[in-house]
Amino acid sequence: MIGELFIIFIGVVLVNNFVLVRFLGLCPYIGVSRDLKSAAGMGVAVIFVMTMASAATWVIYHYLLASGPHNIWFRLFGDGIDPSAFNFSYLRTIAFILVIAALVQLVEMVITKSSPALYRALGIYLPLITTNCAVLGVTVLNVDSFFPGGEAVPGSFLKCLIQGFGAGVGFTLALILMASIRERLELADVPPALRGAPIAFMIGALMSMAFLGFTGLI
Amino acid sequence: MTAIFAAIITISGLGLLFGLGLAVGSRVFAVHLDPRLEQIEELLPQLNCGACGYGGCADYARALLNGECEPNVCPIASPEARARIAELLGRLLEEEEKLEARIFCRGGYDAVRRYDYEGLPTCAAANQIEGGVIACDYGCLRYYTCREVCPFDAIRIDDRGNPVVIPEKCRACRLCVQHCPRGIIRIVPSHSRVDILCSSRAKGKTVVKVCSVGCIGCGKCVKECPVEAITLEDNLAVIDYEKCINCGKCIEVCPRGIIEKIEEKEKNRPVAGDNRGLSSVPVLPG
Repeated sequence: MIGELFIIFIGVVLVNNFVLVRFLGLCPYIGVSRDLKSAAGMGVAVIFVMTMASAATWVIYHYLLASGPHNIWFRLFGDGIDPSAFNFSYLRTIAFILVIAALVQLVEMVITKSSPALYRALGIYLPLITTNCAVLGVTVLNVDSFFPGGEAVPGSFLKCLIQGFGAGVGFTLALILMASIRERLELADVPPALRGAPIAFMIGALMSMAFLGFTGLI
Repeated sequence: MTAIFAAIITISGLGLLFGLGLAVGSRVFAVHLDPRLEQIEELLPQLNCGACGYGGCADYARALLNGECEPNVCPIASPEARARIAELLGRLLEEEEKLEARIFCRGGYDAVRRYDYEGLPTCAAANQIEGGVIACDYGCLRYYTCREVCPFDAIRIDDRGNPVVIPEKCRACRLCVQHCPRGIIRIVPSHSRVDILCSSRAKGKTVVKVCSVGCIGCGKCVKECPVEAITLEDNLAVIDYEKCINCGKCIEVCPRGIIEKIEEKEKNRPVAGDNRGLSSVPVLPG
């Protein structure tokens, strides 16, 4: 079990890095990678939201959307009906968006109240993440990998958590690497036409190719 | 049929649940902010330029409330807004010396051109080819990038085609200074009202060839000045603003007529009749 979780973690951090291999969350990757401090702030916020979202969507999907013995509707009205009649997995996109948006808002409120220092560090980035495709991506990916055929695999909740956390770590890794390179670039002699976003795109491409080298790792 | 209703109820139920959750949450986790914070933020320019050294207007407002800095740090806020902020904070406002931008060229339509230029109508582009379209190496190119970048509409074009800073609107934000490829815009203290509006450091002979209103470094103003505020630096007469008493004696003696009294208020500005079009621009042969 531990080994399985570790493989999921490494897989999502390095082999299938969300930014550099799956190309999700590219907006903050270019937008928030100008300096290391804000990149780290954004990264921590993403790790946090992805883990929370993974947990919340697992509950929603397992008990409300997926067909099977756990489905609440099947339990209430399922007598004598084929369980596949209560397969609402086609609602997952809209339901997950709702969950993520509400979750981020709530988390923001809690942090504002309980820890102003953390709020100031994360505050600007939290609302940005609400509609980030990487967060939706990790929840959909969780469903795809741990609910084959609608039924949850054993230990799927923990696996979802690890995958969500790992995706956040992978995102942060890519963001911090990018920010470090871009901070160095500030001092480098870049041709004027390439300064700013163009050179960042080129670096992104090179980093992406480098990360493809992890493909055979697991 | 049950399945359809179940789907509708699932999604709307989730929406309702989250909505209620957030409503309750906003009550439970409500944070009482100082009402002055919002008022201060409204008084700040909201340009988030960072000139104060803080991460945007909101950060600066917070620093003000915490007493970390003075209300006069923001260079963009109007004096009235600063006074209001100081009043809100119950603090005295120490005004810094007021500054303004000044454009040191009066070449206008008369300035001789090196060639006909039909490229991009920006100063930076017009400055690229052969040392710029204007024959004087220190002359205004008159594509008015400074006016484009000015966030306060503080630069107007006078009747001789020269960009001129309107002192009462200028907040000395230095954007025009950064964007001028000729480097002929400088920030000067507002108490100085008499100035020599030329930047040419070329020899007098060269200046006469390319411009009718360029400083030739004759030194008449230097001799005339009663407080020795004018010096010659590389063939260009320069006023020391610390010494200048705005007496205006140099204005009369200047043979090129480039020393001017710069009116603080727009309405006092003298109206000149000379209004020539671009058609009369002389072009250097060859």
